[in-house]
Amino acid sequence: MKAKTVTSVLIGLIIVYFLLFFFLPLVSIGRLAFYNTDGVFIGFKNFAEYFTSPNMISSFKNSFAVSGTVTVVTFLLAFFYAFSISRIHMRGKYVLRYISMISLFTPTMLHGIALVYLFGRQGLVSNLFVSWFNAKMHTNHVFPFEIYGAAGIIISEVIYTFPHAYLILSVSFAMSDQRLYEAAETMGAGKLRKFFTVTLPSVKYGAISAITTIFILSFTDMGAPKIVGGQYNVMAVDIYKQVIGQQNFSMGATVAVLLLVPALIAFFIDRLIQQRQGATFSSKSVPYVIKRSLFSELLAAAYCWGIALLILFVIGTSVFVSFMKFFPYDMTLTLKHYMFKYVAGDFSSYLNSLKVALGTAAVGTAVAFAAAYTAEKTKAKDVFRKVPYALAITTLAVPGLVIGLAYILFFNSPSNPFSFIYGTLTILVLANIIHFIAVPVMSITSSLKKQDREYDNVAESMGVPPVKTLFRVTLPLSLNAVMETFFYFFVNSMVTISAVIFLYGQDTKLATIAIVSMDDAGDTAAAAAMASLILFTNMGVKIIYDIAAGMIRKKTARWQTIQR
Amino acid sequence: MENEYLKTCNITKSFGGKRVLNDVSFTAKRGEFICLLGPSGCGKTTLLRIIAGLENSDSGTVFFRGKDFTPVPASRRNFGIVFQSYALFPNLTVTQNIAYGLKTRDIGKKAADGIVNEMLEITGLHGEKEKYPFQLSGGQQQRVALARALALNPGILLLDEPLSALDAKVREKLRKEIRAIHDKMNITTVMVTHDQEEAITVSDKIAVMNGGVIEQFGTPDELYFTPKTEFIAGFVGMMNFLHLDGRKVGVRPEQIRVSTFSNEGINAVVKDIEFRGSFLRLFLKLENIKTDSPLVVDVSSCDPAMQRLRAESLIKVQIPESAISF
Ligand SMILES: Nc1ncnc2c1ncn2[C@@H]1O[C@H](COP(=O)(O)OP(=O)(O)OP(=O)(O)O)[C@@H](O)[C@H]1O
Ligand SMILES: [Mg+2]
Repeated sequence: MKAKTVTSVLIGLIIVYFLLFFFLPLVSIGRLAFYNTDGVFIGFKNFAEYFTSPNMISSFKNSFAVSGTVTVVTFLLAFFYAFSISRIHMRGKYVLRYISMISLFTPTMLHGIALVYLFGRQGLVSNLFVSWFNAKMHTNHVFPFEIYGAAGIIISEVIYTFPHAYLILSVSFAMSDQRLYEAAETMGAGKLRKFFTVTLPSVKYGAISAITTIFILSFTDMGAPKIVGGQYNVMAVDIYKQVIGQQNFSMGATVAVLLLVPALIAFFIDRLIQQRQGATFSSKSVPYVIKRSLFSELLAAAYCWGIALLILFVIGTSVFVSFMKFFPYDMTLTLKHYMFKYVAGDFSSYLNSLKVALGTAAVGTAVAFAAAYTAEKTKAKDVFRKVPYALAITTLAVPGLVIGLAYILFFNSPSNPFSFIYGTLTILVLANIIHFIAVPVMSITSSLKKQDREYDNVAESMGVPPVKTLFRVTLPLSLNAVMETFFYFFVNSMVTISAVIFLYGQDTKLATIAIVSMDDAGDTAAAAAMASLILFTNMGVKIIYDIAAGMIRKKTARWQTIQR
Repeated sequence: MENEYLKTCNITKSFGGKRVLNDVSFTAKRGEFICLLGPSGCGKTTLLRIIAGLENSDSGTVFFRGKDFTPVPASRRNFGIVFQSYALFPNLTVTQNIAYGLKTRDIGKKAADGIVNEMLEITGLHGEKEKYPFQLSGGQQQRVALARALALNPGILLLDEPLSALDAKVREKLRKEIRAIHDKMNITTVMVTHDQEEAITVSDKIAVMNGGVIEQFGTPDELYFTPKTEFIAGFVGMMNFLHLDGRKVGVRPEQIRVSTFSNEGINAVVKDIEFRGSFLRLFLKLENIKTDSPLVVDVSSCDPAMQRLRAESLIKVQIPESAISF
């Protein structure tokens, strides 16, 4: 009886949490988009206005053009990258995996900054190299390529989305069943035939997930287009301009709805298709056995290292620039850009970022675990206990910008009893948790699913309270997922800009926001320094995480048969 | 009260409109070993979970020592359970697993250690006590689960197919051990199984379930020699069904006499012979008598007359008077 009450209270709290910090804020966006300032329903009037404005229409088209291109390019690049790493014998796979993931640790602005330094008006390649070349060859070439605009956005977004796509695809490749290949071989299928009849179908679901993820990420990202977009407008930046620049909240909300709809559609398509997947990979499946072939090994190595070096080159440029006195004219090593003196941002924003990231990680992990735990382990009625899980997963479809805008509208309203959190670090933490909670809930849920459901029944029959079993058995068994979750929240909170750009206050500026203002003010080297600082922090945390995970693994190896 | 130690009355349970248990009642005396026997999906596990309090019945009552236990939650029943998967906590050692439930009781560390040691003794796990579950064989894991359930000195021991994950030899050895532990601790036990041989050899009484009802509840030899329904007759032991004078009768293979030289009896043709080690199993086709499937007869494998039998040999068969009619 008592445990049951606790369960109900817990589920109730989680549902209230999601209603308050997710659902109701979203409703306030909808209200603003469909009602006028006097609260009168105006239907699609705002949307009609949107689609009659030539500027808006061109942003709308641009957003689709850019994210469509990014989706195709990233998918192809990541597909063959994942394929090569999981299916072809190669040295240094570990390094390749790491490099591919570096851009998860950087704000997207960092890529934009690097591209500007490389190909911008004063860029290394575009300017110095071309004039050097002209002087040498007595020619009069002009650099044929304008980085500000679609090209810059696309390159930045490809680098940004690449690791996400790679991670999803590599999981699919890892789940293929060797027996299918053997069956195909005995029936005389050649290499190409096996690729189309076995490999492709077996990664179908992962591929769809990767495609929708790439699309949503690039469609809703604001960081890169803000830096490198130039006159080329996209919707994500429009929201920012409407709200921050012109204080036109209803147009901002209208764009937000337009941004949300494709993301929601992509999300539901993915959910629908994933549900059909069922159990294609059973415990009887045999892992894929890599066959050697010199030609494909060389090709794959060239391909993977090519991509990895390009990623390193772009990210490395920003890092390099941040240590140069005045790139590219005065290449003396200096730390002055890290002092953030006389620039449009300061060190306190970095400290704020750390606080927010730690807060998000701590609270977010607890909330994610609670949502997964209630759905998976408690005995409440099915409909009731699945609600927190469903709400948590739906957050995946809601872009950060939309969450940020929703939060201003909802929490800045004087009638809201929670309006006191507006302008504090707390609201940034809350926005980040909602923004990133879907993946943690999914991964903790899947780790709980692997545990025997009878554990709790055994404990119950012995009269041991569920809380004790939670701490003695369930948590230790999900320690890996919990740590991953903590890390995921931390890293994402460090690099995010979209939700928080609407929500920071006088004293709660974050590092990513400082990057944007420094870049706006022309303090690009300082912006690069701040972006690099975020990268170093995340890499440091990753190292700590790996060491801690290694230690825990060693400690738990005594009772773990399979290590994940 | 000792005669009605555990009593289930008219238990009914449906899952999503599908009736899984229908009006199930049985009574166990104190110290009895009861088996719930039946084919897959007949509701055995569901009944066991309702007894344990892990599942609520739609209607019906569970009495324990005369008290209505239906509203009592599993955590207050003090029934020991061993699950089919054992559900040993993988991050705890054998000792910690056994002591898991003791920790929450106010019995003091010394007493708790004493109980754990006693359990290790009874189940013969002393050598394994610091190991983790994955380091143990299936049989050893099974014993740990048993020891863990017994450590709290439960009112009843509930076992859900405790042996089904083990291979035949280990299974036979362990079922003897379970019975021995039961006898030693005199603990009332309800065990679920779908293996009729297992049920017959270990239990005092068997409840044979089919399609959500108990078709018969009785001692193993009652079930074997006086099965109430055709289902029981076919499920417990081997049974031949013959159509004699318009009625259907059942005869056990070992009750049928056959002869290669006698003139008495019914003519039959040997269709197939299986060598089963200590006996030969003959499959016969009877002249003029309809059987549901070829008549099965077991004969001694040492009998030279029987050893000479081949397919299509002719033989005489005598159906005993003791045949059960349905
Ligand atoms: N939680 C549940 N939800 C829905 N249906 C269930 C649930 N538990 C059991 N059932 C159904 O009830 C029926 C009886 O299940 P039960 O587990 O009691 O069978 P069983 O006799 O133990 O079978 P087995 O020998 O296969 O273990 C089955 O048809 C099963 O599918
Ligand atoms: Mg069962």
